[in-house]
Amino acid sequence: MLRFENVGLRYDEGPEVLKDVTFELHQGSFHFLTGRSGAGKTSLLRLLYLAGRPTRGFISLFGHDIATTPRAALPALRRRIGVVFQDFRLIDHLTSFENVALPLRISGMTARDYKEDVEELLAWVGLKDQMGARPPTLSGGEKQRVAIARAIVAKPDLLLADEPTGNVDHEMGLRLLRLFVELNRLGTTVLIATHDRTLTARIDAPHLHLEAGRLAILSAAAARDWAAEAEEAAP
Amino acid sequence: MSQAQAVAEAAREALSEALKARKEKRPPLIALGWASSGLLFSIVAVMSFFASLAAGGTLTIDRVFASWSIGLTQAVTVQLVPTKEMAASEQVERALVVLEATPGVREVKPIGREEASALLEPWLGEGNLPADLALPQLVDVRVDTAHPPDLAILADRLKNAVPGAVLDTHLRWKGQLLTFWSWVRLLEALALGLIGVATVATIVFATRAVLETNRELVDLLHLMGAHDAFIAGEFQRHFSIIGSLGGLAGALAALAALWGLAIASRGNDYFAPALASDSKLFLLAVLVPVAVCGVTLLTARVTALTILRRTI
Repeated sequence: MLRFENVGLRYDEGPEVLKDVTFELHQGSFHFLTGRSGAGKTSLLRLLYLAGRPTRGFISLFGHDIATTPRAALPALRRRIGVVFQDFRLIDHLTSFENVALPLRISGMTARDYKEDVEELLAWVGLKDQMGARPPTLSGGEKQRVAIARAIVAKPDLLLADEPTGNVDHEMGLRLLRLFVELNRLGTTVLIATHDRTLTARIDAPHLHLEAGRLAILSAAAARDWAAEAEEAAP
Repeated sequence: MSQAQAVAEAAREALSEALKARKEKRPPLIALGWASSGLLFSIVAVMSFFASLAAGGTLTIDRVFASWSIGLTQAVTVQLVPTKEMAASEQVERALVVLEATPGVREVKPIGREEASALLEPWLGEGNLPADLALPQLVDVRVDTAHPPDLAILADRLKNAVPGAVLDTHLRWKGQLLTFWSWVRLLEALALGLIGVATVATIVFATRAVLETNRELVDLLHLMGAHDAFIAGEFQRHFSIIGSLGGLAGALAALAALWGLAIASRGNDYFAPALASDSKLFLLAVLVPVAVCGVTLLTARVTALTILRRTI
């Protein structure tokens, strides 16, 4: 469903932040995206959720060559992608309910059609009592859960999450991870960018590991070994 | 699709989206602060006020011109300049014979010295007309506007029959009035056009500013799969509300001003006809806000779409 071939990306005249990135995600797969800060994770995610186009290389998403897909056809592709942004990107003047319902509203559904689903999902992420609250009054963890609920409410084919458990406690982190796994079982392809090794240790999933803009694909076991070595090497 | 069809389609989409949002009581996605909303409202209201005033002024000028024009078309004047060849009373008698025998002449009325003196009073002052000053005799002639006489032939017949007779058809005065009226109409149209351009420019700047302020939100909506039309529709919701309220406020203020003018100039119907009784003015109070709202809505939509299409 998703294929990158020799993808390179540079911003303006700067150095390449992604170099010859090649990988493939199959329908229903579960991957982690790992790498140090500045390794290019956010840039890669931006390409994945169609916030930019690569400088070179080939990207195929849902069978569409992104380089030749007309701009008018991009919204339909984007609606099949759910994104949890690291900085949440919630709309401050909307309530939690309205923020979560946004993808459904954009897709043309009426409030009557989505009310029940949105309320159920907010209850599931533990925000039943915060449905009418606006983001400025929510804690970091609550905002994160609203952002996650918004990303999955439309049951996307591809879920991209940037540090989705960074602001919640361990218990809620695991609960959210179960949510991603459940979604994955229903057929959604999941890619989670994270630094959280306790999270990656919980799931036997391959890693897309970025190092200075270059991507390596590691199996779950290889990723664990790499993490252990990195821990030992750390001062 | 032609430009007109595209505009009609955009207006239909906008209306449909606005009605849907209103029906569901959905909160606006684009937040325009109270300060920006208030400023935009004031600008639109001022534009609407001037547009209504210009349109109301056109209606007034039309009315005044029509009443003057009818008066001038219905009446001609025969001047009988005193001569040695014929006595004044005989001049009048002969002129009346010629006039009454002319088809198309409806009414003939000689103007006596007292009445002629009254006509000169505004220029000479009361009682300043010397009693021995020889004044031309005047005959007021009312013509049938449906079947008017040939004024050139009438003028010749009068000239031949009565020494010193001159037929004043007010042609020169009418020509000057028509020229003046044309210029006023042109200036009014120019004023309306400039107000329209200023309104469009204001809305373009305001839309750009709101888009720039909400850049992150617009990007987010795009990333969630929103079409440009959906985002533009959110802008329209704001601008159409501000446009209609501002338009209405401006038009009502202009109507009140015109009404005040009508009341202040009561008793001077010749220069300021009774404006308040003109139903067209009330129509203006409806049409101008609708037009202002339409211009606001379409300008915001077209500007937003133009900018959005440049994004990825």
